[in-house]
Amino acid sequence: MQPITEHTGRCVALRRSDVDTDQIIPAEFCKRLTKTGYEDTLFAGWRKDPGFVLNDPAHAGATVLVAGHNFGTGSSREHAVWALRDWGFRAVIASSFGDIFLRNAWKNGLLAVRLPEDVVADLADRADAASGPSSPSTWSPARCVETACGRPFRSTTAPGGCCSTVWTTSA
Amino acid sequence: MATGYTLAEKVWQSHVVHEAENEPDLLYVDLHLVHEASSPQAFDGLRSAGRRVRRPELTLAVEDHNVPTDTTVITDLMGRHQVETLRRNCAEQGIEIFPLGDSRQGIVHVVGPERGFVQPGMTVICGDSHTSTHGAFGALAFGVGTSDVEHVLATQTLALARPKTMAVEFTGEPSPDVTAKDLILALIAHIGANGAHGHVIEYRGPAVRRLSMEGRMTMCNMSVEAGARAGMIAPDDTTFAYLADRPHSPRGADWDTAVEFWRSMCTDPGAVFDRIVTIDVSALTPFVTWGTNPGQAVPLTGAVPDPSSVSDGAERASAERALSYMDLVPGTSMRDIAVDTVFIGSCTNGRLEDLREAAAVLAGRRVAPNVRMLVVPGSMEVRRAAEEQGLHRVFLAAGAQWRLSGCSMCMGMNADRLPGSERVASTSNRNYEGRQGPQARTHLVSPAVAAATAVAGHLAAPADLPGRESDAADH
Ligand code: SF4
Repeated sequence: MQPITEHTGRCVALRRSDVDTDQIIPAEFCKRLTKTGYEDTLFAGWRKDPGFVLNDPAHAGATVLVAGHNFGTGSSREHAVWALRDWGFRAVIASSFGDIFLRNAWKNGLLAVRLPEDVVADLADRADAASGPSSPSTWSPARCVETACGRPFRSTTAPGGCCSTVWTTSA
Repeated sequence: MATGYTLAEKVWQSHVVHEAENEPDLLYVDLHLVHEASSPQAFDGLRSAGRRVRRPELTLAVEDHNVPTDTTVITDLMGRHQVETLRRNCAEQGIEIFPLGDSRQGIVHVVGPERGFVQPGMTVICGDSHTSTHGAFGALAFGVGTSDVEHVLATQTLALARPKTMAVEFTGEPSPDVTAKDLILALIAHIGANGAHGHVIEYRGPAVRRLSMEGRMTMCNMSVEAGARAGMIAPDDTTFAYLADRPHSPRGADWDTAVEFWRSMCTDPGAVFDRIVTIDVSALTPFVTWGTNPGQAVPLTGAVPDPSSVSDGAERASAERALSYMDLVPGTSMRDIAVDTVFIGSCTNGRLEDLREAAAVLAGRRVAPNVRMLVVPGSMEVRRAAEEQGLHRVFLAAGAQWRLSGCSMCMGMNADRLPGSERVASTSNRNYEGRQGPQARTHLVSPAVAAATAVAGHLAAPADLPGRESDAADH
């Protein structure tokens, strides 16, 4: 596991709520026996649509996923976290997460940041506004700072044992 | 102020082996259930750390996710490799396994209880989200990912933050055509697919007390679809009657001691829950899903909802997306939705009682000409018991397929997948996009509604079906 203590990266907005782990990685890819090499499987169903946000070259290299509420609900497959990580994501920001996903993320150094719904919406807007093929250099960088490393269960508001986190953006 | 403990707190507290401020509790695990899909990387991790399974005798493995249900030969290479890997790992670590072809094989959450492995007051862990099923016995059962599976294999413990508690009080008497599946679908529609987030639910009330163990397992199984960490029901005489004489149940004097202890596994009168949800079930009718998460459900007598009537922006967008995926138009009567396939099975509704309910509807009737129906017993033991009662003859005479046991069409990991954008009425637990096939459209239903739907060719309740020829002859 690559521990995460601080991260600066670009956001991409996935404007969907209740994104279940069957979408993050369809079951057919969970037959593999390894813990790595899942980058090709991330959102495999949705990526068949050329208009899907992660197919947009303007978002290539994004490392922070901003998603709707209840992200990672459903199946306990840790492959979902492995796929997000292998694609290059270091953090996911949403207003709520599936409990087992949260635990799996924490176990693998994928930072799951819970923020109020309006803050997430604002971040998603800024991620969209700052992207686009014409202005890839103006993407909004996101900076996640994990404050409680080494004491990951400090936050009483984080079931599943997610680190308590502070979120800042360079406006 | 609380003057007692909830059931969840009692089980939790009696399993804490280490607690400290600002740290998760370390819980002892009484039973670790293992299957082929979530365990290979865990065994690898164990090996590379030079460790062995700490308590193999408290660990049970089954093959269920990858197995075909029309043969005992796995032709899919990756699936076979995963199953063979599990066999090797179990042989190496001395873990009991019920492999494909064994008379005890079946879905992990069906096999554990039916062999008597799961008992009141236990902690149960499995690398599978529907581990919540086992809460039906008054056990505290958590689904976990592969890293946690490795931790349990290595230590027989798990570090967990203490969850919150939630009481779901079912009030009123449900009508006889309302099953456990309808109760839980109605609850999830009421509180939402993340409505019990961070909580252990305890299901309470006379409607729960009247449920069989099968019904209770259906209910606890879908706790995770409400976002709960676990679901529980306090054990009672129904529980003890189910457990009596199971292969792994205590016997003789041990049985009496066990029952006495089990009776203490209930919520004390003065205990306080973090949250209480009350739901009146006296007016409830069979429930079905219309969307792509289990909370998107309505009564079968209802219609596809109009997203524009949803005030919350995210929920509206989600409903619009779901309707587009499901190819449904708002206002369509649920009963007018035609299906291609009917699936009866899974850890939610693949038990003997479920098959009996379906067979009672199908007896003397036939599956509609354009509908394919699969009946997949939750375990080979369920299959054997069903055949003893002649249920297989009812299914076969109706034109349904009678299969071997496995997860089957619940999830697209084996050969039982829906082709194209077929629509299915399914007794499983997840109506996610692509869950039963890359473009499959799922409606979650009870076994009785599934059987009636197979006959009618569109979503239907048993009461919607015309009388049978045999009924007419009777009068
Ligand atoms: S039947 Fe379905 S939900 Fe149950 S364990 Fe198998 S795949 Fe999971």
